Amino acid sequence: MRLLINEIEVDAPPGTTIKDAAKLARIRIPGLCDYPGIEHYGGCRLCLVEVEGMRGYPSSCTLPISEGMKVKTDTSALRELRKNILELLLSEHPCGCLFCERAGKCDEIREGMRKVPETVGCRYCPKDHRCELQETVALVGLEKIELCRLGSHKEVMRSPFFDRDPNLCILCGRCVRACDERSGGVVSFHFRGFDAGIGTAFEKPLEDVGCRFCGACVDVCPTGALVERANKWAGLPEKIVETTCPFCSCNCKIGLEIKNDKILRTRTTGSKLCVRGRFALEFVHHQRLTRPLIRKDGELVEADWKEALAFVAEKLSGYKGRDVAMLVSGVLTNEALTAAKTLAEQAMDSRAVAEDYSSRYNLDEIVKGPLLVVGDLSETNPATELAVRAAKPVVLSPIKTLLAKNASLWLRERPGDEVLVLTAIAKVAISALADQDRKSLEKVEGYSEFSKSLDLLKKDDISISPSEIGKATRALSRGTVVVSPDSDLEIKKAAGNLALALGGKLCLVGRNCNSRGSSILGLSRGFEDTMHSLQSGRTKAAYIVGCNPARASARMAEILSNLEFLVVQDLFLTESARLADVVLPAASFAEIDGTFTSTDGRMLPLKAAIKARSKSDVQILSDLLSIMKDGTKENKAEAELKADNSQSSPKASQPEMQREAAGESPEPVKTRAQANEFIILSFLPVKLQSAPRDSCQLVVGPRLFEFGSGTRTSRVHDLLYLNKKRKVEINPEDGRDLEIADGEAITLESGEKIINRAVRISRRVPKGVMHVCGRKSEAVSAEVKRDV
Amino acid sequence: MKNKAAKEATEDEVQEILKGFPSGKGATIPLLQKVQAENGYISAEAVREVADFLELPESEVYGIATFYSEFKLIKPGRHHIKICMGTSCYLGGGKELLDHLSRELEILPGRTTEDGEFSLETVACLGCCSKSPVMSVDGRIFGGVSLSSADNILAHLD
Repeated sequence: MRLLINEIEVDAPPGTTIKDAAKLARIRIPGLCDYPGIEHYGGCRLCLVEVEGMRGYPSSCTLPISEGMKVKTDTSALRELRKNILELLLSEHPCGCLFCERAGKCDEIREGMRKVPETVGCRYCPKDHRCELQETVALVGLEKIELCRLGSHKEVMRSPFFDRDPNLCILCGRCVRACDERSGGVVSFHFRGFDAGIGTAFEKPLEDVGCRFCGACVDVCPTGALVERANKWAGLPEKIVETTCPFCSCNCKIGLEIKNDKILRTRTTGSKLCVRGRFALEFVHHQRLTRPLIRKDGELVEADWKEALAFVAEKLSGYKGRDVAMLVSGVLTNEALTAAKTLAEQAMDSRAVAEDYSSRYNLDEIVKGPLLVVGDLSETNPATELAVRAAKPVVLSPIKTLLAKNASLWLRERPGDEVLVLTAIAKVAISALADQDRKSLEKVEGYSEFSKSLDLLKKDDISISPSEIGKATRALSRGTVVVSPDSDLEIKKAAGNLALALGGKLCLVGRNCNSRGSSILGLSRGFEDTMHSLQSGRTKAAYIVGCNPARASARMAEILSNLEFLVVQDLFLTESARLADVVLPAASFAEIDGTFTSTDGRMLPLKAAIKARSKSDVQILSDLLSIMKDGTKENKAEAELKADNSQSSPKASQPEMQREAAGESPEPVKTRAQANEFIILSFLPVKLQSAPRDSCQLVVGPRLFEFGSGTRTSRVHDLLYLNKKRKVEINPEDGRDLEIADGEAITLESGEKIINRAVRISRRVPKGVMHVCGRKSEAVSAEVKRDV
Repeated sequence: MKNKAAKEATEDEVQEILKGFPSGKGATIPLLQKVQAENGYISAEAVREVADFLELPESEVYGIATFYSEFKLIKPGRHHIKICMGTSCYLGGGKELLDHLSRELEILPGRTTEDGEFSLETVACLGCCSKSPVMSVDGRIFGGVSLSSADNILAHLD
């Protein structure tokens, strides 16, 4: 579509707004309520334009273009209008920083606390130099304001991660729309006229109304009304380093704002970050280890690198094969994983393993087809969940998650029933197959056992009605079964069977940022074996890099403490590190160059943004390798030097990995090749009888605010606070039956587990089910005890 | 249960009210009106129940309830006092009357006394400007009210 803007011919696709079309022609139109990626609003009236043949002054951010339209954006009438509108808007906003004759010199000449009286709005603003009002005033050309300032001072509200200052709010509503866009709906416009403001219902704290602290509201706020509390007054960054988020397998692109060798804030750079990428990177600066520790007389004492590496090399050389285990994880870069794998294979005659698996998939591709989602991705992989949610999938979940609310079909199974439901869908799918298709399916290994196990399924045992199962089967033909990383192994197996039966794909979503890289290196193979020989006491020594098994389970802590020799390589003195004989401090994701592998096989760059606090994983592992391989004492120092000098980390050397990296467009996943084995189902023991009074089913689900074992997220102050506030969710009917009110503290007993928590009455959970957040999904029966 | 009344006013009547509305969201205002008609005000629990029922964010329902001055989010007192702030009453001493009662009852306009006896609010006009300043107590209109006669009226309520 062609149109004329200020006599310049612009070509833009239909549906584009005038404002966006003008942007294509590099014509700037002011505006404070419009923001890329969120719903158009037309509230601030600063983007008014003149359109030939139209009455009045339409707002350019809401009006779509039409063929041959003639638009003027900068007439004297418009300039006058905009000045008036902006002046009115600023009558409720402190504006000392906008019109003060010393504006901009404020930081240099600080002879007094304030340059102009606070009554006209001189105050410290954390958004100084980053404020869109300052930009807009310059663009509109407003030079003074003649209206007296209105409005009384309102209290600044403190929330986890950011502060909300209603005095600086211009009611543009960007935050409301940004929150709606993520289906939060946590904040809305309240009251009217001079009392109008933006907030939660009854001004409840954000953490009590389901805020997920993604920070989308902070990102879009044009003023200092919403601003990160960490480094609030640090001003502008010196540089912005684009890198990859080190948490989950969504691999969001992030921009680190750096000043004085410190991460000030995270920029979204187009990604839809969650709380972890947006606010939780401060772990990088939290009580890091910088020098190696060696256990001497029972105490971990500082040592220098040469001593520590020599000691590790000497001790490790005494263990070979199954005597020694190398545990790594998908939080490490490809380079570090390769180095660990090489060290384990070449110097220890063993293998490196990780409990980390991710299918190869292209999210943009799979959301085009039918989808079945199992597990709560919004807690484990928020960005993936957002993409999947937009595709209106079929959802299998006992909890009414955001995904379930937006599902095309929501199967609300009894918790623990997932394997049954998945298998039931597979059964219907197979029975509906044409003869030819069934014959090809029969050739797949394990089919006969699988089809035999289908006969064991009984309709009455399944908590989803046959008609719904049928509906799901029809909706899912050749679709993708997406399984969250915290799902039980049995569920993953059943999902694989279903994918085969549907002629579709299985998409096991990875837990960590480099789960895919770890899978390509084959590190998930042999994990069970390694665990088994650790548990049986067969393994005598272990080298742990980038994971913290002692935090994840008490059993693992016991196993690790019984080892003869344990090396832990991590950023902090973790629970596992406290049990170690040698602790080697590593550099964090923000301090190294390297790569993660995305789920579709691309190499994602990791860039060093700040000075390394310690040696990188790659450096430590390759130093050790050269010491252990050369063995002789004379060569040690030399090898160390060499390793020190080679700053460039080894590039991904695995042929498989190179192949993936080279392939530009990921080839479509071949189902038969990918899940080429039917696994005989072993049904999970599920209690099918209705829960007796005073006891019910407890569903433990993963939690957004705690990632993996929590090693990194537990070092973020506000995440710790949010984790302390977690509650047990109970259905209102159960609440009434058990006479438990919202906010009341109860004790839940489930086997050995005892959970003391406050209650949240919520329809998110079905009757007979209680939901708490934990590390791994599980459904167990529990008993409620009242606190006396 | 604390929210039992609110729940009854929503769940039982909601189906009836919802008839004729194309989607849940459009029913917010009639539903809030119904809750207020039943309970005299809209409690925090009621806002939550309505939001839950209509599958809307709680903050949005709260936003709607606070936008319209007709909706009350504070439980009205046993006696409801309205002071007219129309032009005639304002000039005739309505503002002084309001300030006086506000001081006497120790509440701001729009609030209810702690003991739940009185609530105070302003209205734009009660339609009897010739009798300014006008005050209404529990629906009864009093004209030409002085500060002392106002005290007297309140003192003789049962």
